[in-house]
Amino acid sequence: MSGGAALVVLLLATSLVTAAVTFVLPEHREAVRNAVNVGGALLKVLLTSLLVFGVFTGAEFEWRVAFLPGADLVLRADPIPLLFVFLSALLWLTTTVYAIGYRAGDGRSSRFFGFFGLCASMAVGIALAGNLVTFLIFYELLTVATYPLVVHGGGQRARLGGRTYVAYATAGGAALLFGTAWLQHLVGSTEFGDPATVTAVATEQPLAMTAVFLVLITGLAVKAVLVPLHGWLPKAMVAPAPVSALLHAVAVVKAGVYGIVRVVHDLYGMALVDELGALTPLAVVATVTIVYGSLRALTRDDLKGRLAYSTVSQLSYIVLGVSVFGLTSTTGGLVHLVHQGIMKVTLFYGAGILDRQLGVTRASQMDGVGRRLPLTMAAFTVAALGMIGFPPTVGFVSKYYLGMGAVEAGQPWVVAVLAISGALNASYFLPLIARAWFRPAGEPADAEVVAEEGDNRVGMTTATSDDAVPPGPAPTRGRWETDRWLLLPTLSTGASVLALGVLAGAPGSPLTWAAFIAEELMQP
Amino acid sequence: MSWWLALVIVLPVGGSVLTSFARGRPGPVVPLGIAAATTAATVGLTAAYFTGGTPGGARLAGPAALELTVLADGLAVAMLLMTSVTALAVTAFGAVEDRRAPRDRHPGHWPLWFGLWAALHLLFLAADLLTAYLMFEAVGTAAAVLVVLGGERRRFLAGTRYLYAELASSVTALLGIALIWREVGDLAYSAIGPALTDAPAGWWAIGLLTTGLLMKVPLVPLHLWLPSAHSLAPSAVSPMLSGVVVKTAFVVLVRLWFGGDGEVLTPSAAQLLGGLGVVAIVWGSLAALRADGVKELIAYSTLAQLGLLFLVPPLVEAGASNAWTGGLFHAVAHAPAKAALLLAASVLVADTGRSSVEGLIGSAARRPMATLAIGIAAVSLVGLPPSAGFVGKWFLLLASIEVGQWWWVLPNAGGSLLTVAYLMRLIRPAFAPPPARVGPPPARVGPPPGTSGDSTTPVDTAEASPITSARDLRDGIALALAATTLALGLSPAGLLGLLEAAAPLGTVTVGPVGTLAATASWLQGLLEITPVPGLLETTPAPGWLA
Repeated sequence: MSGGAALVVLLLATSLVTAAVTFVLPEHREAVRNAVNVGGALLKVLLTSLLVFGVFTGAEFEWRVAFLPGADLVLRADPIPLLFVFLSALLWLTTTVYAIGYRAGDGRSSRFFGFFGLCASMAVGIALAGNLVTFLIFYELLTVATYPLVVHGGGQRARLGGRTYVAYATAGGAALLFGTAWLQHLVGSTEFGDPATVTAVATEQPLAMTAVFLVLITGLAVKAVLVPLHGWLPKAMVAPAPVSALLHAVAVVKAGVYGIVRVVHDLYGMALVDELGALTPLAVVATVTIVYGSLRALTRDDLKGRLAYSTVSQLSYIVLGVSVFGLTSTTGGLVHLVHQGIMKVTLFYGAGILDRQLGVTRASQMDGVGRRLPLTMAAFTVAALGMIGFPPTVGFVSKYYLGMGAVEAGQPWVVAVLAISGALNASYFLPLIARAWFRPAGEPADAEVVAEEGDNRVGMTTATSDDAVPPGPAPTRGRWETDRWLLLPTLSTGASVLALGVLAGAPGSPLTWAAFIAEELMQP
Repeated sequence: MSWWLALVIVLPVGGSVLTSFARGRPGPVVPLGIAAATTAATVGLTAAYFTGGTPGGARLAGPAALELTVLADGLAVAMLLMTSVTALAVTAFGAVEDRRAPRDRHPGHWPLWFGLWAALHLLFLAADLLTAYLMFEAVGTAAAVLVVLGGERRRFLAGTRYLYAELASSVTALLGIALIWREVGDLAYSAIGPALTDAPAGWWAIGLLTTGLLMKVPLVPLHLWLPSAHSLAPSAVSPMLSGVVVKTAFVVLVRLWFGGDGEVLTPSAAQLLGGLGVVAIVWGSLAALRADGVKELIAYSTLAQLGLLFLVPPLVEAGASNAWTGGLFHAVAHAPAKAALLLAASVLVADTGRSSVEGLIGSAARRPMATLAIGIAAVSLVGLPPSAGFVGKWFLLLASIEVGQWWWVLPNAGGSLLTVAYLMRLIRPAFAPPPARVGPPPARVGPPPGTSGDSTTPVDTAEASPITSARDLRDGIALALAATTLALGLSPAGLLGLLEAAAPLGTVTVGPVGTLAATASWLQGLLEITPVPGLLETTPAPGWLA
């Protein structure tokens, strides 16, 4: 095995080994478990940096082993995968730290962190997959590995959420499998980064190849929560906050969108998809999803539900960027892959702290929380403003490129969609921010008192059917407004929402990266 | 080669004799030793097959035309591996049970068990219908008695019913075999050819034989004996029944249909069989969705999984040898997955003493290893990559697309979804909180745990449940068996090679140009291997894509 191949395998193995070690650790070895998990995540960031450095100096990173006839197992570090690997490695580190602070394991931490690490390796596998078969393997495994996390609470609601999740995910997986097999049959290989072969087959059999595209996108759309296949996401919100952050920012839904990106850019090639006439329908679906998700988010009072519908909407920006032909919009779509992850993860961290520290789970309970948790809410506010698209956050950068790209491509209606969606985003995020900062604290804050509230929270913990393992005590505060393990990740992602927006033009930023990739893709 | 061939039969037969003459009960070491030796012999046979390159065979007995013959071709070797690996795990499981509760084991168990094992080996190796028939009798009888041994009345009834079904199917099959003997004068699979298929009596023979064997598989609607026998059998027997024994008749069927050079299956008959397979998938899955008991659910799941095998006849008949590979891979892959599922489920259910699905509540916390085994087995049974179950489904899917018989895609993919639906009934309760302090704690009447070292007492009282979370080796055995499906799924090349070597037609690989190339290479293979003009009339339409 060459050095390049070893690095790719090592990257996958870090999280796998972390998971394996964590699984066998006894429950009470908390310090060891935390050290192993944070250490594994740090090592992964290090390896990823090495990989990025290597790719930019022109090294090849590919690991290939025979699997099925005509379909090898391939892991390869191309530019687009690197973007995703880097995002997932960084957010994994922060989310691991956050999960430790959140005490998400609730007495079953070894299991929790074990599956957490397993998800991390599946995400790397998805990112680096060099052909559709390899992608499919990790895509399906991700479903298996996330299920125990979604149902971690163990209550009736958690298990119902898990059931919905599995039903949707396996149906989507079946469609993806069928599409993959069909493509394998028609083309003879499913390698990414070789659109010429696919194009050659497609000129002979345009109808069949369009159908394959449709099947593949339908399969991926389930995880990418494109309307009308989005129903599982709001129900899977019962998972602990770190899991939700993970599902929404890097793992599950991102895997779906990332799959769409790769199918369009690396498998078919954008020109071919355009020629087959599939880009415009995709753009329409994305538009509908953007508007529908925002509208539904308006109606939700529970914080996590609102954030979930916001995810539904935001992810489709990426799909929109993919489906508008042109350099600028492609850049916008790719960069939003990273930007949405950072913003969303910050929002979920904030929501988790609100829940853990104050027992606040609803928008209507957020009055005055800014005074109690100023740093948390500052990060939350920045991320929310980013979601709306205020400059100089990363959200603005994405939207700017998407809008410009649409105008360049002669599709100005996209700008209108972006404007409408921005207005809708503002109308469900701004009230939260206003409540948090400008309203007097209406309810007695702090978790000790929350138990007296006759609200849903009490019903959840006392009713036998729900949340079988009651959440642990509120985290120790120490000198800070909340546990440092919770605060630190939140602040760092919140800060990067700003920093990456301000420094969008700097070399090495996600934007320059995405622009570089887009230029490569657009070269005939 | 012939040495190994002798060993894989002599060793389990010897084991049967040894355990029946052992004073009292043989204890855990003897069965385990025999099982390990037999498995080693099977591995040796496989190695010899791969190095030798040609199948080895032997004439056992009998006059020239009515002799007992065995042939270790790729298919037989694959099936022997499946049998040995599964049986080794189940034997180990039984040995641990023996150590925990020696008095629960009927003295007749191990002799019959090894007898069953030997008969299974011979049945898969059989190169003619007579050997196969005799071994069917042996397998059926041994299996039925193993179901009954040491059990109460319900088990007796289930076993008897099983035996009757075996007898009825055997008589039907025997009629068919007798007719074949009258028409052809030779019972070797390779002799089944135009001489048989051209004669009207030949069709009766094939029809009767097929019907008899379908009942043994069983295929819906001939399955009525299976659910009770498989769900009531002892935990060290049912994995073998559901995993391995059900494959015997299917292997003989594909040898009958595709082993000779005659056109045994007409396109319409093949389509009918495929249709029955779909019915089995749907029926078995729906019944599994409604079943109360865990083992009952798994038994119905077996019916559904067997249904998928019957996509093989229409697809292979249409010329897709991917279907041969895929179908038989599925048959092999199903064995360890199903056996691991049954082993793990029986451990979990025995803990709570409730055989219903609720008996699994909180298993993830109680017995994580057994629960993980269920999870991995489920992944393979559903057919998710990278498990062995995926490889089988993948090839069947490719085959359906390849020959343009799109209607088989739906049962394949839909069957997976149904499998998810009913297996989630086993996995969902696993993550529920353990039933803490419901009812009085059970009296500690269980047998003294023979295992030492892992007597971790649950300290945290908040989580403590009345069910002891003592783990034993059985969880590990189930997990190891389940893990073989992952290993097989990650490196399927060896098994694929074995199966492809035994494929009836030239191997059709999916060429880069697609359907046309596939059809062309299929035709080429057909012309080289079986120059029968009649076959060409059944050339499949290359599909609407070409």
